[in-house]
Amino acid sequence: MSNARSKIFARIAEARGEPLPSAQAIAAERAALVPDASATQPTFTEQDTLTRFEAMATSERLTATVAHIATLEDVPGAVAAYLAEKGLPAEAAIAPVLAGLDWSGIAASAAITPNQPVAVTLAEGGVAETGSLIFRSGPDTPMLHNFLGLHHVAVVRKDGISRYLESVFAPDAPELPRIMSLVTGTSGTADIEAVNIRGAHGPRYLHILMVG
Amino acid sequence: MSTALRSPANFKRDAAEAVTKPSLKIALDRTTGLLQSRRVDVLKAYPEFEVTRDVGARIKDHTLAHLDHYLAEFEKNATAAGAVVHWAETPEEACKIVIDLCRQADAKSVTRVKSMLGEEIGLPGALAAAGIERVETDLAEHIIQLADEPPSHIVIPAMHKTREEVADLFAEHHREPKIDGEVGTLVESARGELRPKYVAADVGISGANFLIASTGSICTVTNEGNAELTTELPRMHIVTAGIEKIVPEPEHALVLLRLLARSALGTEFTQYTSFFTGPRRADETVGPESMHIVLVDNGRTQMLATEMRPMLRCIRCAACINHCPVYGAIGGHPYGATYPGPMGSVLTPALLSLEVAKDLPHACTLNGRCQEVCPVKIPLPDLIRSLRDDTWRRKLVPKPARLAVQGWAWVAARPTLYRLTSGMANRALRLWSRGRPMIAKLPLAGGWTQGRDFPAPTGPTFMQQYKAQQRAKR
Ligand code: SF4
Repeated sequence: MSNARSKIFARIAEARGEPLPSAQAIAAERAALVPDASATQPTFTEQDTLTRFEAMATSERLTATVAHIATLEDVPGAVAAYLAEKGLPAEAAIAPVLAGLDWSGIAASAAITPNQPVAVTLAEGGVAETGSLIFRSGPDTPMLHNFLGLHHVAVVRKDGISRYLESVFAPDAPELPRIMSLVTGTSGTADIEAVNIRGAHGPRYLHILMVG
Repeated sequence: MSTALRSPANFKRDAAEAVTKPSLKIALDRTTGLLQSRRVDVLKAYPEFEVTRDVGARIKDHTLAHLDHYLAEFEKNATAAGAVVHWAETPEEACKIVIDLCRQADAKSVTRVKSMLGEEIGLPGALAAAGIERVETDLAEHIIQLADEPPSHIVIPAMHKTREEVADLFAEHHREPKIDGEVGTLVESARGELRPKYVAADVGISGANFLIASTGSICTVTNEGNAELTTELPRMHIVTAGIEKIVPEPEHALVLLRLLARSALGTEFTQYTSFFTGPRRADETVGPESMHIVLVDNGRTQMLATEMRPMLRCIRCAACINHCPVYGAIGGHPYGATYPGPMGSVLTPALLSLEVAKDLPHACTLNGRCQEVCPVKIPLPDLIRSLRDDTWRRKLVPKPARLAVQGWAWVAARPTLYRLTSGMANRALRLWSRGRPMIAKLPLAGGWTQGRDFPAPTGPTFMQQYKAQQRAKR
């Protein structure tokens, strides 16, 4: 234990001037901090979850585009259609989790390069409140695929989209991966004169394929 | 102003110089105006803001009251996830830990995500002294790195730069500059310049917006997506964070995130919000091989014991800065330290010393807008007033000002004399103004009227009017 650590802890205890309450007492107070998460959530009762998600993601600020497909098998076709529409060559970096689909017609690579034009990945879910996609890092879902491409095509199952951010950390949610990323629209910056510009470092274009 | 020469001790000189720079005024007006109106717009759709502010303040207060408990919990969980937690009492200690880690990783080049804590502890200078190349990846930080200037704002560090000035910098420094007068083209130029550097870096350094005790995670928010690129490609990820960044659980971070994005940039949510928990796992082939988290005190535990404690709730949203009329006139540099505006006027005396920062608490009109907009309800004007008291008690206020205030207090305690002198001053000012509403130059207050006008009295004093009314009633 470093000297700095013990000195910092000693000063904290001294500032409090009384002993630390029991772990149970702290836990009880902690549990009462947010008595009702819904009080802090924006209301959008007039919109159902999927409508709100799509409206937020495609808003003027987040600038994503959305296409609807029936099953995961439709992903390669929808990617081909997107590439054709944008006038891009038929090639893309595909996240390993989607490699098993039939990619004939598209030059699909597993590796991603620093100047990758197009990357296709699978989101674990989405959040209607903010229009965010949820990505978890893992051997089949490497995080860089979500960041390096100029165009990011993200696949998300409709039943994985929940209403509020809290669901991401719900007690029944799987354990945290190394990186859990909430991606909300395209990369942007307001660093020069507060003007909003897309495509700062991450993707300039985000195309969401909603499945189901 | 170069990074090395700044000090809050020069506040008066630098503020006087700043008000004379027309390009600064243009840059500040363009930005703060936009940020204020965006904030108003986004809050219209979020009537829950008021309640959420209370919840946010409560979360922070609870955590600060049990800070040692939560720091220990964080340390245990971060360690279990494979990260190494380091502790630093001072900026020097913190920088030494980071530099030693960089050496251990044999680092020649490090990429950095904007972190105000990194600025606070002087990390850029320490890296330079150690001969390690530093690449700032946040666009604004990139701009001011090229200009060799310190940040002038905590969310938009290059707020003092106009697009024209940025274009000149890029033309001079970028390998393949792209410039055509549009902001979008400038962003494109920076993207091209920085991309290869992400890949070449040996160490990625980030800050943390939140430290999550229950999971041992650090949470970063960016709009550019540079945090993930900066930390995922190099061999080592170093995090530097102040100990007050801690929250008990992820759900508490969510509440504060709702406040942060709306208050900082007037948006519902930041584009990239990531929770990092430990280094590369056994089943992965990408990601940093090691993760080091350096937790820094630098005066925070001392603040805990004083009335400055509520300042530790701060989530660095900069709303108070964007709404401060003093900041709007002089920008961030004259504050002479990492944190400008109202929050800086409270933090800098605590982090450095009241002696060197004695002018900051006085650079405030006590208009109260900062407290009105602060998402965690920090009573900034009260804290500033209390610091003013301290400067008075510790005799840090200059002699002429002390004498003037003491003289005023003496007169004010004698009602007849006070009425007589204020009536005379009122008449004199009205004569001097010759009917104009503002006075451009005042005898004996030439310094004061140099950068602003003095409002002329519009009628007799309050007491004179009151008496006249009472007479009329009789
Ligand atoms: S003091 Fe309040 S308004 Fe100012 S930066 Fe901190 S949290 Fe934001």
